[in-house]
Amino acid sequence: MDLDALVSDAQARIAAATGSAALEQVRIDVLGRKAPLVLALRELGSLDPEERRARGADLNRARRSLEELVDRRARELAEAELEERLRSDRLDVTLPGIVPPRGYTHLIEGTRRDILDVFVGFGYRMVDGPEIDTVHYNFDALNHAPTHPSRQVTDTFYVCDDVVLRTHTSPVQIRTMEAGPPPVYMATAGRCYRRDTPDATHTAMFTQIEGLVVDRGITLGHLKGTLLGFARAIFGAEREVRLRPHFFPFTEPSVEVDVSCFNCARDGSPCRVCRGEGWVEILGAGMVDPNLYGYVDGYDPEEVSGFAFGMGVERVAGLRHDIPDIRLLWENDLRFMEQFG
Amino acid sequence: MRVPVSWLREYVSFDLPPRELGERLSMTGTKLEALHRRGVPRALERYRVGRVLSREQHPNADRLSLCSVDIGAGEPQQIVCGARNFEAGATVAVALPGAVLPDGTELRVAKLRGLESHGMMLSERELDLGQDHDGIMLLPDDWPVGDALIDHLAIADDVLEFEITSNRPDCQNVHGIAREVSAVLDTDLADWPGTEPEPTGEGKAEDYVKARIDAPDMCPRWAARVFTNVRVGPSPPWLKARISAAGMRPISNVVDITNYVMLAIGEPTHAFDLDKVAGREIIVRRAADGERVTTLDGQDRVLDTDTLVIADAEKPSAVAGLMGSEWSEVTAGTTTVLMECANFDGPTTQASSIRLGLRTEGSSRWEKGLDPHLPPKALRLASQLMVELAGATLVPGEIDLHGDLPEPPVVPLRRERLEGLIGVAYADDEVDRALGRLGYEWEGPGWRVPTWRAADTTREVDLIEEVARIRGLERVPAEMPGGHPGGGRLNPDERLRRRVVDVLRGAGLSEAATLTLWDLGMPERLRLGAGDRRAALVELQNPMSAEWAAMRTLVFPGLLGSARRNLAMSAPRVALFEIGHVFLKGDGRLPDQPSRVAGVLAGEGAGFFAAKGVVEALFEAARVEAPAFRPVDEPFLHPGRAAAAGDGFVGELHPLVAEAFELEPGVAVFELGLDGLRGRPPELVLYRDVTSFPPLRQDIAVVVAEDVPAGRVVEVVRSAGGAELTRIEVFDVYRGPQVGEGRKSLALHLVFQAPDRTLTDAEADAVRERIVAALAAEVGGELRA
Ligand SMILES: [Zn+2]
Repeated sequence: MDLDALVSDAQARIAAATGSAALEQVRIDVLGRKAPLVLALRELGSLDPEERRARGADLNRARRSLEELVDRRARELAEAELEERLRSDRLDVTLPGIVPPRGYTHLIEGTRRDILDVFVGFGYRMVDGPEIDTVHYNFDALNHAPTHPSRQVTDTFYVCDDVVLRTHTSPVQIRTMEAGPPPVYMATAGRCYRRDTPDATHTAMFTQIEGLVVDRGITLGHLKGTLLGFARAIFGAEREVRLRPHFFPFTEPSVEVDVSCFNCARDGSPCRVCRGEGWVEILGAGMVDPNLYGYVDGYDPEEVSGFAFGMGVERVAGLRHDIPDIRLLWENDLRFMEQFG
Repeated sequence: MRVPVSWLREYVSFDLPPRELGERLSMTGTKLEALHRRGVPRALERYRVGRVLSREQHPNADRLSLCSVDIGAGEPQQIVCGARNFEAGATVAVALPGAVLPDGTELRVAKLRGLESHGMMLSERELDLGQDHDGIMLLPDDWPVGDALIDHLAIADDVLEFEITSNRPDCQNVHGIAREVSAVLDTDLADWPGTEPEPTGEGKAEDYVKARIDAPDMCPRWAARVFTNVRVGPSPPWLKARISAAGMRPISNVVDITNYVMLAIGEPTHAFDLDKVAGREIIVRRAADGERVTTLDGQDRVLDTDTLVIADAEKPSAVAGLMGSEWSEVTAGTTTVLMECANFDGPTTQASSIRLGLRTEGSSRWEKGLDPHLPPKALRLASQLMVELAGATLVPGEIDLHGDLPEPPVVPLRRERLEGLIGVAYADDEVDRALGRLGYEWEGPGWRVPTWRAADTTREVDLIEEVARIRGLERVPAEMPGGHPGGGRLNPDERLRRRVVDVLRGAGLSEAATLTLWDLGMPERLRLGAGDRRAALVELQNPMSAEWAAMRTLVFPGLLGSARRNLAMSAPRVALFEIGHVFLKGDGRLPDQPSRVAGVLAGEGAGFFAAKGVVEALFEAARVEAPAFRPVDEPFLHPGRAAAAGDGFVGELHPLVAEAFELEPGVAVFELGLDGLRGRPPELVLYRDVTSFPPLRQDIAVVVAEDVPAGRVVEVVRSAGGAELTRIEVFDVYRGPQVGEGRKSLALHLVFQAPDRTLTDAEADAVRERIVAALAAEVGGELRA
């Protein structure tokens, strides 16, 4: 028996088997009880010991290699047959998935988080203050003259003569300075109320975010740098800011802050957002008026200086998302909310 | 404040186009709100000063004249005209063919009843200078014929409209704006307008009128002059043009002069017909309670003692700073005028203005507080104009009553403080010129504040502001503060809030934002009893509407309206939540203002258990042990489908409440205090080994009477189970013939686990037996085979 010829013939037959059944027939033929190789092994006993050892080793090696070959081919064929079956077990993957109920983040909440996260990144600590507050915190300690127009009952909601719905988050400035000495790096957020007739840019209730920094050597340049960082984080990396002098009772100097328009080429052509001016007003700010330090302990205006800023969350959200009327934010219409996830 | 550019140029010169000028001012604190173009839009050279050479009847039309008009260069023009208020020799304003009128009409050679008209002689109204349309405008005869009309009259003008902040009443006039321009452009400002005319009248002012101030706290200064031989009539075109451009209506020369003085230098003045002043006596006093006056707008007004009046011997002639009275009004027949230039207290005027609901150009200036040194300047300008424009004779002398007027302060300015606060270095010259141009004068150790800024500038920081804004904030470098201590973080409340938002959103609820304000009927709609703390609303003294009259004491009711609107828009399922404050009357000066989270589930899949599941998920996410959900009576909830949950509740709406909010039954709500979700110890979770030793699981079914709550069964199982029983879940409730009438079978899934060893079946069986015994003893439970 020519062992080499037998093995190579068997290898060819194994490779040529195209199905599990065919392979089983080949296995029986080359490794079964009646296969020449198996018969040859059985006949080894009739050989003399020396010849038996050499012949036996050859035959066993041949059998093992063929067994491996059969197994490998069997796996190949089984995989191919599985593939074939799976391919016919086919879903229409373009049908919709089974969606778990989805909830949406309110745009005010989302915007509020985005803004607060910027200031937390700048090293500010977040604090809270009450929505109903005293005239002392809302006006007096914020250096509002007794005749300041915003104190009027036409502008501010009064609960009683010395308690109001806060008109801004600025009372938290005083409460924060009362709570501890400088340095202060503080951000706060919350609802405020003004007796404004609702229109596309005003609601009687709105959300404000306020920041206060008091430390040695704080300058107007630090305010500008801080707000530039904020503007770039919220409105895009290319933004610039500019400060326009303004008046607020509790800051001196006071500024209104514009961000360069993010909606147009800023070449004066018509633009819905900046009306062709290239700049969009986003917030009010200024250096803390030294009179404020007189309402708290431990703040010497000769030693420390500071800045403060306040912005409307709805306005920022409206600008960022191109919302024509901020009253939409208070309607809780799921079709509206869905857009912003 | 509307500032006509042609008027502004009288006080300060500049080369910048108006828009650029406006932008420069915006960047230095005087914000340009708008730029208006007034009058003739283009082709100004087509407007000339002309003289009528002849005027004849039009041969084909009774109402038209045929005129020959000299326009300087070239042949006289033939112009057909409908007006009759002029003769040959009149100096007139002529628009030639090609001219464009303010309304946009372009003028052409026209044939009127067969005769050509080569232009038009203009009325005031056609030029947008005033309302007068009775005839053509007659110009002063000394205006040279052929001159461009624009050289004499502002037939075209740019008007800058500025927003003036409340601290700058000195900018509510053209001269004040000119001062800002002079500082910003570093150029000269003209002197205060007005030159004293010769006082040629008879006698002295005090011969004509006696005056006294009875309320000096409300009126620091009262000054006036007397004019005789006044001829009341229309103002000349240039004056009408200026007043109109500044946004006021020309009325008559005398009234226009008072307005002109106010617009020019900021001092509201008032003219009385002195012959109508009873007893020729002026008393500046508080009104009597209930005293009445009919103001110039025809309103009958009732005054009180906090209102300042300018009274004659008998009655109020004016409400000080607000408006004159009808009975002392200057009219066509007036010949003797008392011109008042006073100083009224800002807060007093403001309060009166609010009480009377009367805000005028004058009061909007007074309420911000005006310079008590202005009256002499105002009297001078008014006198010049009265003499020149109303033919008046100025009576020598004046009345000027005042006590000590406040001396403006001298304020020091340290350079290092300026540069330290702004973050910019300034040259000496820059500081001096900025302040000098604004009217500050260097005096010894500091800067003498000009009288018109004395109320606003009292401290070093105020001077710093002046220098910084005039020298421009563009040069301020943008830097981050250098030395801050770090440690930025969200506060625990915010972290909790975010966790709650994220969990609820993950549970399929959308966040809503609803109004914090309620109407007063809300407690009744919620069926809150009178003794319920949540029925005692914090009410507003001055609500805007009945809808928003008080502060909410619960969050969920606001969500019901949002749910209803979404359902109405055919959303099949609505799940909303809100986090916010409620406001409860307490013992302190301020109400208690805790934060709460509330939710509503309506439409598909809503119901008690859906809402309860959300609440359970919240507690689990907050790592707070879920409270026992006991049945609870909340007036707004279904009595059989409501549970207390910590300091809040979960349940289905009471059908009557659902109806009041126009919702179908079955809507479920929940509301909890955020405080109840705050884990103790905050945020810190310690490791427990839950993986080394596998748990053992067993299910049991126990039959109990129908009235035994599942929660009670779980409680008994838990206390009998001990430490090794780590989890109990009720996964089925069965009622039916197999368990008998009035009974139910609860299927419980039990998990046993020990942190230090693998439990054996024998151990678990022992625990299970304890549980079975306890169930039998405490709730009469039997194991179901
Ligand atoms: Zn733009």
